Amino acid sequence: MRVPLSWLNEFLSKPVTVREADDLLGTAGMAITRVDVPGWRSPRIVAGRLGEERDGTTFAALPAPEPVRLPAGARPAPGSMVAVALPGARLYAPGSAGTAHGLDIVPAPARDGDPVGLVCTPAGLGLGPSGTAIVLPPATAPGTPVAAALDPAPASVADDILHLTVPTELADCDGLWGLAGEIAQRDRDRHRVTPHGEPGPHGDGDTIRLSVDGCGWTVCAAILPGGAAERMPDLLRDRLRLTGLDDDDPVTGAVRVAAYEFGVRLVTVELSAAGPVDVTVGGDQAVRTGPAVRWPAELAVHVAARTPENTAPPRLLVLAAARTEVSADGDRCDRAVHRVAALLAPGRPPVRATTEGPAAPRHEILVDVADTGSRLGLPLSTDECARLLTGRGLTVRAAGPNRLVVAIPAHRTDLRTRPDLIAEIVRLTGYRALPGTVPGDPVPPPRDDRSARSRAARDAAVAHGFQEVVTPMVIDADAPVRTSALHLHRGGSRTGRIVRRSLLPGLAAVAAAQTGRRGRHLDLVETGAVVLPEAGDHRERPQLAVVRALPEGSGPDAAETALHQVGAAVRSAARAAGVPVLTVRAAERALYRPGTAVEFVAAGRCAGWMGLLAGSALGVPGTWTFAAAEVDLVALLADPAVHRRLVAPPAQRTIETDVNLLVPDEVPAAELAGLLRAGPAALRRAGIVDVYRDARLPDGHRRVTVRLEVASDWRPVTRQEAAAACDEAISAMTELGVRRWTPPQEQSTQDNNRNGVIR
Amino acid sequence: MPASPEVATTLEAVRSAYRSALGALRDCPGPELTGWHRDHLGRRSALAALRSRVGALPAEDRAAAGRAVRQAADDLATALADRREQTAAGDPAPADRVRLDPTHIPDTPPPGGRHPVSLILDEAAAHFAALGFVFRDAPQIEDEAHCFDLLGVPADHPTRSPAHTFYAEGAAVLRSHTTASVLRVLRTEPAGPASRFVVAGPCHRNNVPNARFVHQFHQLEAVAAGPSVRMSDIKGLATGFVDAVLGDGFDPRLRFRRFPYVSPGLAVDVECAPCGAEGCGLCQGSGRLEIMSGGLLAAGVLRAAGWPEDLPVAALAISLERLLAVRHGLGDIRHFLRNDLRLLAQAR
Repeated sequence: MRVPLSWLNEFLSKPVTVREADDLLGTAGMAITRVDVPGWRSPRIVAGRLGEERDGTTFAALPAPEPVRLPAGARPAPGSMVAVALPGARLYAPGSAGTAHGLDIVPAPARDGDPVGLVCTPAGLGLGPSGTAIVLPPATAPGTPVAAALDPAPASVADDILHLTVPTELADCDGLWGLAGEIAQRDRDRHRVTPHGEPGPHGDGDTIRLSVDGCGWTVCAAILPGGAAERMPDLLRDRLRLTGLDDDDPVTGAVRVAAYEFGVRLVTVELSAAGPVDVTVGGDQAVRTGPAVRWPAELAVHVAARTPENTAPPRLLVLAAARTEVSADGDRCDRAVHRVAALLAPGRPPVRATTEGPAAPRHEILVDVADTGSRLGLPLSTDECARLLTGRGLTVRAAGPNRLVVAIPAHRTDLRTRPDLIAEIVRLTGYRALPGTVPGDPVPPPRDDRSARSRAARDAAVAHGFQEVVTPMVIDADAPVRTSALHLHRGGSRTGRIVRRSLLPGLAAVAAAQTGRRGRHLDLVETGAVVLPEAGDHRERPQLAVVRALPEGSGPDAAETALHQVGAAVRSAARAAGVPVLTVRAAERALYRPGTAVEFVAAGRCAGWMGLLAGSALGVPGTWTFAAAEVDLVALLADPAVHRRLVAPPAQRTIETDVNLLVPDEVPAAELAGLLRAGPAALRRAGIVDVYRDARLPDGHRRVTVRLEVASDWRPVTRQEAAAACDEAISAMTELGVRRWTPPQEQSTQDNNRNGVIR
Repeated sequence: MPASPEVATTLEAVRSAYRSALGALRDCPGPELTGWHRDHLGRRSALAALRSRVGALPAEDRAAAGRAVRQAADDLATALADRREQTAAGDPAPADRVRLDPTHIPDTPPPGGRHPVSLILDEAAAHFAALGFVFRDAPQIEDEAHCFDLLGVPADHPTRSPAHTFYAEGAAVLRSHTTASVLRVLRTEPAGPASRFVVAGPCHRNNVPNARFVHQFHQLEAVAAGPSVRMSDIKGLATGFVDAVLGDGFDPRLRFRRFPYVSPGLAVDVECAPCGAEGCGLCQGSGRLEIMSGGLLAAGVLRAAGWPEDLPVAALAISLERLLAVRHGLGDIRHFLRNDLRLLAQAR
């Protein structure tokens, strides 16, 4: 329902602002979903200095120069200060057909070079009929909202259009009269006033005999004299246009005005004969009716003239119907037909008759006031409860101490049970009346291990310098990694959509979308759910993805470094999640470049993969390369968290030795590390500290520096023992083609290395 | 009475000698402090020469000039003692210090950082954890029963249309709100005397994205069950959360609102901070933004969960992107899905 605020305020003794209307109607259960501020008061209409025309395009400084569209008519001189409506601004379009409810909405530019704004006319701003551009004072600063530039504020149309959602069950709130009633109930200062449709005296003339068969309905009938209908006032026509109800036919317009103002159903019947008429509403037979507003099908209208047909000018029978409980709120039906009469035949009171149909059955609900109060947390007396409920068409009777029986009218379909009535009580009191409490009896929270570990893993990756992002779970079906995906129904969209089965395409898209980072890598991390339908169901699996995006021109060294960084972040994440040992083994996996993929293994289970991917494999244009790891958090966190075991440093002297090894490229570091760890007992720690590639090395080999620590629990080891332990560890790798590497010029230092460093 | 020109000249000379000596002392390394004493406080120093000139001044000016010279000498002696203490404590001479500009703090963000949505999610979860709410995991891929049917959403409700909800193969539905997850958690939990939990995470709606709606957004829903739970508890939780996360400047407004799965229901609005309540695309001109909704779960939902129908269960769902938009004054929640690092870096 679109409500021009000035129209609503005519039904109140004291006008409300948008904020007040939002507060008071919102408390009553209605929602103002949007407010249009058209014309000069819109913050999206700003001052702009008109520039010279260039290449057929006119620019205006807003304050930055932007292309604008000029209205038809005389072009203001360059340098003039004009009002420019920016995209989304609403301009008045009085009298023009084809606009959205009497308003023009300035469109956003569709392509580069399209006008950004529209130079406004007084008509568009609601400042007068002129259709040429309005010129503002030259001292106005460009970019200033026009409302601030117009000093003093013009006394012209300045309406706010409220978009109001009225629940169907609140039939009594339908129409401006009902809305004003809700406002008046919540703010006693704003008594309703009746500018239009005050039930006036009955007119003289032929009588109406009205009978209503519709159960629970009240109907008011009136006969209006024939003849040409009055033209509707301009203000009313403009308002009707703003509500989207305008029509060129005066009878239709009048009926819509009355229905809109009083929230009733209206229908008209043209009477061709003079004399008294019998009108039956709700019978079997029906006459052909004229303009109508929401006239219910169950209320068929039958009219019978009591005198023979004659040549008298045609007359108009107007019927207004409303549920009896709703109509009782200020004789709405009477007011509505009177309003139609005042618009179509001013100064000539119509002949009227009002009749109620058979009473509709009401059902009853027993309310325990004390229980209601405790459920709401609001002390409530029986009298207060009864007062609240009787105000809105419900009838109440006492049924013992603290108990009320409430009779519910038929149209309140929302009130069926006791909880419904409790909701109605809180709607009527408003939430402001409720105290703010917190649930009592604190419950100690049990441990929530899985989520905490998952968050710890993410935080560890972030601590490695990776930026967390959140990407959509639903992606276009033409995205890569689409095999065996969970497809979504189109639901009106042009392209098919799937639930992602990997986080990587989303992360790749984020990397590719960043501007201004030419030549620099990008580190991203995300935890999120994916769906792998081949797993047999549609259950999602939480994953952690860590990505370093390498731009065009990054060499193999950068790629290897990127993999090391990603791998280090994953290992830290695993440790933070309580998985102290995460090993890797070479593996091949679709999408990853051959020879670059590894599998993460935690407690014997595959917990993810890492490797290099080309941007094209992830649907990213250009020549991006991604060092990426995907970790399945279900597999990673399947076992309870293991607190890292701490190993006390050896009490005795240890010997630490760095050894350079020449390693064939096909021997992975993981295998090397595994063999070292399985070395002699005296070898307490072994780790790879450096990997080096150089043209001086034999083809297909790399140099790997390992650091070996030899110790005993009981005594200091000797250099000879340390050297022997290292030799034994290294000899275990000779089958793989691994040997010590000693460049010729470093021969003299070999002995030093062999001797090691005493710690 | 104005001082005679001779006195003025003498006093100015004293001040000049004092400043010069103090400047030299600041840059003087420790081993050279004795030389400094000789040069500036010794018998051939400028101050000593000035002291001898005092006797030549008119009798009425001698006292003032003498006091000035004596004061300058005393102050320099004190400064020398302080400097000696510094050097004895190992403080290097100013000249030996690294020249640096402490006013220059590079405006370089750290390389990594959390996403604002996950930050606020953790913050909200921590807030409710302090009140005894435990975090419960729940799936995003739901079925129609949990998402709509068991929550009392009628079959012809517009939100059930494929134009609003993502339907997948096998009657799967991407949850459009966390209340579906609340129901799932309730069904797996025995109805106890008191229970409190939160579910949180992404929700999905097939909307046309705009400043206010996106097709993936995040909700956190807090649920408290127990015989003593009241509607006023929801108000207290809502206002307390707004105070904790947005600060005192926001006055939440609780508005009656119907939902099929709660009775009574409410929505919580706050002033739209990005536009200063003037009206923008985020608040769609109303100046207020709905950031929470909830109520007491309806009897039908509790029945579906296998819980006693008369047990009060309060639920409060929070829209995290809208909360962020209000907190950070950002008038378009699509920014939180775009992952522009220039924005994310500011949120660290």
